[in-house]
Amino acid sequence: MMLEQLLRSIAQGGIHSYQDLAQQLSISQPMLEAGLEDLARLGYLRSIDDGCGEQCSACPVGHCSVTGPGRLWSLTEKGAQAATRLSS
Amino acid sequence: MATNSPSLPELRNRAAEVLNGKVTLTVALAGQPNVGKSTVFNLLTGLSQHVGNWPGKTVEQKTGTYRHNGTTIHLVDLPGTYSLTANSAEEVIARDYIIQQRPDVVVVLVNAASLERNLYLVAEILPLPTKVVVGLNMVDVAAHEGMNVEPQVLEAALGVPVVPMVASKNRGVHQLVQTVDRLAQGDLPYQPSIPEIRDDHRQVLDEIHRLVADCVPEPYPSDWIALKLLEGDKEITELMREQCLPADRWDQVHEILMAHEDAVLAVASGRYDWVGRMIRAAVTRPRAGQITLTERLDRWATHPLWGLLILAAILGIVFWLTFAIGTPLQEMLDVYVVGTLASVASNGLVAAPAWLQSLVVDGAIGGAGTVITFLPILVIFFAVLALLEDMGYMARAAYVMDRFMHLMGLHGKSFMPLFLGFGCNVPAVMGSRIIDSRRARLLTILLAPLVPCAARMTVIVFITPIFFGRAATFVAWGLIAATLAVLATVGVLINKWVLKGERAAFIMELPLYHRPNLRTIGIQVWQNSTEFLKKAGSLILVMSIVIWALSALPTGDIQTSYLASLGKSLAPLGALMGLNWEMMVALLSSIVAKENSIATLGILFGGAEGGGLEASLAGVLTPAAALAFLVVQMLFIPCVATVAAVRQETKSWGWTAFSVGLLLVLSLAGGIVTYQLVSAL
Repeated sequence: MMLEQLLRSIAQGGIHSYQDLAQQLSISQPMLEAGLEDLARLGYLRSIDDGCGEQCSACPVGHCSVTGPGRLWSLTEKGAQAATRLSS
Repeated sequence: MATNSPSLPELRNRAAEVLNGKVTLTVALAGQPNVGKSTVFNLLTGLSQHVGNWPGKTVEQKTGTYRHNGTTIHLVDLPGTYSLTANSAEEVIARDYIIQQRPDVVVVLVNAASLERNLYLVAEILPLPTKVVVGLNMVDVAAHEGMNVEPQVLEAALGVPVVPMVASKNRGVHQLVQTVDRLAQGDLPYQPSIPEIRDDHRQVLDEIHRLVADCVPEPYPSDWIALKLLEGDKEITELMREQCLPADRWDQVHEILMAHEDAVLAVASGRYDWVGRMIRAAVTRPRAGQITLTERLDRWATHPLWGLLILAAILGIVFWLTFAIGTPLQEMLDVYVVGTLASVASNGLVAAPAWLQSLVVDGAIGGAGTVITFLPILVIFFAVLALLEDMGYMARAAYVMDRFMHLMGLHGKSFMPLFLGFGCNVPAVMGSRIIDSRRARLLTILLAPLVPCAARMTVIVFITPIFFGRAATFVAWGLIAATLAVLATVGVLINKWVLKGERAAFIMELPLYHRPNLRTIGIQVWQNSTEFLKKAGSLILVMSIVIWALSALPTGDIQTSYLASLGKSLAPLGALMGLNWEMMVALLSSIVAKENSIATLGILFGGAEGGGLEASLAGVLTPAAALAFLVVQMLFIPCVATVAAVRQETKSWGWTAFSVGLLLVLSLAGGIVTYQLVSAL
C-alpha cells in the first residue's frame, strides 16, 4: 500500500517533510526516499528547485538554492489525478 | 526488441572451452549504479576482460572470465539499473539478457547501507527464470552508519544465498565465488521468496494472465509478461499488441488495463511491502543521537510561530553581523586601499592625458574598485549562508514559511516558487512550472522578481549603514519584512482570485542538523569570493568603463555628458523621491547587475578619493531619499538573467516587456510614496 498511501498523504496539501511522512506511514526514511524517487520515475512527482544553472553565471553573489542539499518535490498533474482517484 | 547475443570473442572463448571438454558457467553481475559492481568484476576477471557495446546499443558491455575448481566462468557485467522497467536502454538490456540468455546465476550486488533502495531491484529479478545470489556489499559502511544487517537472517527471509562483502577491500569476494559455484551445482537450497502483487489486484493480474498466456513468445515467462502489462511497461505492451495478441484479445486486455491505470502503484507497492518485510527482518537501525537532536531542534525551528520568529531573528543577526564587522572593514578598504590606489594612480599618471587619468582613477578604480570593497561584506554574507546551509537550516526557512501560509488556510501553489527566489530570482521564475494554470503561472512569474535576492540584499547592506547608522539593522530587516509582507499579500490574492483555493502539495527534505564543517564553509566562501573578484575584474570593470565613458563624453565635463543628459531627463521623476540625477543613473545601471549601481555611484561621486563614497553620498541624500532609493532597489527591474528567464518561461516578448514595465511602475511608485511619507513625518 505504500506508494498509494504516500500519494494520498501528499495530496492532502501543504508542505510535508520527509520526517513527517515517514512517521505518518510508519516506514523508515530511506524507504520513503526510495518511494519518492519511484513516484518521480513513474511521473507522479516532479523535482523542483534545481537551481539556476548557467543563467546566473554573470551574478557574483546569487545563491541558487534555498533548500541546500535537500530535495523538493511537487505533485504532477498525473499525480494529483491519481491521488483524487485513490481517495474516492 | 533487442536481442542480447553473446559477442564474437565470447562465443570464441566458449567454443574453445567446449572443444577442450571443460565445464563452463555463465554468471551475470547486476546491481544499481555505484554499488561496487566494477570493483567485483575487475577483482574476478583481472586481465581477461573484453569491453565492447551491447548489440545495437551504445551502452558499454563488459565480459570476462575467471576459473574456480576447474570450471571456467563467463562473467557478464550488466548495466547498473535501479529497476527493470523499460525506463532506459540499460534496464531493457539487463532484463532482456537475463530472460533471453538465461545465465546460470545472477549475482545481484546490493549496498548494505542503502538496502531499502537496493532490494527493489532484487524484488524485480527474483521472479525471472534464473538463480540469484545476493552480494551484500559495503557492510563496513552500514556498520559505520550504525546499522546492524544480519546476512543469515536476510538469507532466510529472501530464500536465496546472501554473501556479506567489502569488495573495495577484497573481503567476501572468494566466498561469493564459492557460493555461486555451489548454487550453480545445486549444492545450496534455493527457495526464493518472490514478491506478490497485492490481493486487491490479484484477480486482475490472473485475468490478464489468462488472456495472454497462450500467446507469450519464448523465452518470456507468461506471468512476468502479465505483470509487465499491468505495470504499463511500454516495450512489453508494444510487443504483445503488435506481434503476439490477436486484435480482439488485445482489446480485452486493453480494456482491463484502462480500468486499472494506476495498477503500477499496486505492483510497486507489493514490492515495497516485500522490501519492508526483508528490512524489518534483517536490519536494525539504532536511533542515532543526531536524529534525536534534529527532532528536538525542529520542534522549534519548524514550529509555525516559533519557527517564523527564529527565521526573523536569524535574518536580523545576519544583518547585524554584516554591519558590525563587514561595514567597518569595507570602509577601511575604501579609504586606505582604494583611496591610496587612486592617489598613487593620480601621481603616477600626472604626465598622462587628463582623460587617461580620469579613466583609471574615476572609471576603473572609482567604479570596479568601489565594488571590490564589498568583499568583506560578501565574505561575511557568504560565510553565514554557507554556515546555515552546512548546518542544515536553509531548507527549514522555506519550510516554515510555507507551513505558516498553509496553517493560515492559504494553500497556494505560488508560495513555494516565490520562496525559491531568495538566493536568486531565476529559480523562482523557473519554479513556476509546477503551476498548471497558465494564468496563475504567469502571475507568479511576474511576482518572482519582487523576492529580495542576494544581490539586492548586498546593495542594501552597502547603502543602509551610510544613512541609518546604528538603526541600519532594523531598517534592512524592515525592508525585507515589508517585501515579504507584500509577497504574502499578493500570494493570498492570487490564491483567492486566480487559483481559487486550488491545493498545492510539496515534499521537502529537511537534512539532519550537524556540526558545521569549517573546511567546507571555508572552501565555499573562498570559491564565492574569488568568483566575485573575477567578475569585479571583468564584467563590472567593463561596465564601469562604459559608465565612465558616458560620463566623460563628449566634453570631458560630467555635467554636460551623455550620462548627465540621460540622468537629467529623469530628474523630475527623481525629484519626487528626493533623488538627484546621479542616483537615477545609478538605479538604471543596476538593470545589468544590481552591484553596478554601487560602481556607478563610485564613479559619479568620485568616491575613490578623500572621504570615500559614504561621505559623498551622505552629503547629497536625506535619509528619506535614501530610504526611497532602497525601496526602489528592492522592487526595481531585475537583473538581465532574470529577465531572460521570464522570457524563456513566458515564451513571450510582450509579457517580458509587461513584467519589466510593471516592476518599473511598482518600484517608482513605492519610492515616491516612501519619500513623501517619510518626509512628511
